[in-house]
Amino acid sequence: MDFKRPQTPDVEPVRHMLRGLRGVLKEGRDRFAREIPDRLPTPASVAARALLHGVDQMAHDIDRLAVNISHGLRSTSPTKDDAGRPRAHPLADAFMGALAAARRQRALPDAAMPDEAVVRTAFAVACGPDGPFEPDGAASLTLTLLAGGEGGDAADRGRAVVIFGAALSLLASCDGETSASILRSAVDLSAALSDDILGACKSDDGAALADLYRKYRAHV
Amino acid sequence: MYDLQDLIAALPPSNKPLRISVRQLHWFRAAFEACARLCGERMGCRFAVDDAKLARIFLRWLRAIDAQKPRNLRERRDFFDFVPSLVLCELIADMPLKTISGPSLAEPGSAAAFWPEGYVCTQFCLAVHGAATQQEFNVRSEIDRMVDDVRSWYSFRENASEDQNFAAGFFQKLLGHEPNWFMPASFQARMRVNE
Repeated sequence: MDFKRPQTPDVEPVRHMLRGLRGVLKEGRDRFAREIPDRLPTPASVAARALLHGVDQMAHDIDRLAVNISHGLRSTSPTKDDAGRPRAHPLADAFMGALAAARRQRALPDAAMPDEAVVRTAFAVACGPDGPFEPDGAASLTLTLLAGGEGGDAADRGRAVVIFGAALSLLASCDGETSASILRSAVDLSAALSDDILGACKSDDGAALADLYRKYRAHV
Repeated sequence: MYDLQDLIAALPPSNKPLRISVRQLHWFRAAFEACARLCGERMGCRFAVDDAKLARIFLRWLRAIDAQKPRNLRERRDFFDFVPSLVLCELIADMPLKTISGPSLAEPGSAAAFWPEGYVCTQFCLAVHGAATQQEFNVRSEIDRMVDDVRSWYSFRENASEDQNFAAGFFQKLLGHEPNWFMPASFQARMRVNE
């Protein structure tokens, strides 16, 4: 019997609409910022600036909404592929690509990194089969991939920088696609944070690692 | 000094407010590279940028902002003017620029010829601050004329080599503020002095 796969809603028009809405907001905000606050007396000027801050926050919320909608719609897709095999997490390929690029950026040998199958399994476990990729999942993934590594402190540091950098780049990018510039910055930021990352990993402190992801995803 | 508006125009575009973009490493780096490139062309200088140093500088700067950010919203504008002086401290203390050739076009005896790397880092801070101030407050930065006085730069370089915090005071002077020279990199100390 033919099984007709349910149609997955197309995410792109929704995201396009949200981008448009954000653009209109930004344009109005910039015009308002240029023309209004400095002409007002002090109490009204403070209120006007508070309004500008609110609009900035709204624009940020729209960005987050676009990401969440994107992830949410992806999660309505079937959990198995056409051949009946468990479907890979939608972001697993992006993570594998980021990991490979981060390894090259840090000039780490391929052998220093965990096997691809291990990474994919760990990714699915950390995020659930279709769940969003969030700081807590990224921390769990990092701890899993770093467990059992060999080669001493320098090797641990190298692996931690690459894995944290790759995951951070994914968290930082709005739509799950990592641009070269975002990835490069995420890995450099990860190297600058390596003492904190290693400290959290060595004490198996997933909460501290998640806090690092949560704090620095906005700074890539 | 080079035209600040030219430097501002050379900054990379962003769909976010600049006060947010500048706290993202990819934009911060692109802006720094753009300033180094533009200043380098005018000075007849080629620079190499150390990415790893720049990332560490950026991180220390974020932490310095977090440590000093005032809770009182009325201090926001003052803090806005103060924050670039913190990044200049970090840049001068752990210089991420290296001159590869030149400066062949800088006027002899000028600040750019005297200290190309320090000059570019300062221009970067002025450009980003100028652009963000225009965007947030619709105000054009006025830069003190000491920026073109090479003797100020002698003093800046010599004093900053002994105490990196001196760079913060130098930057505040450029923006027309009188710093607290005992603690030039402390926002609260500066406020008490100004009050």
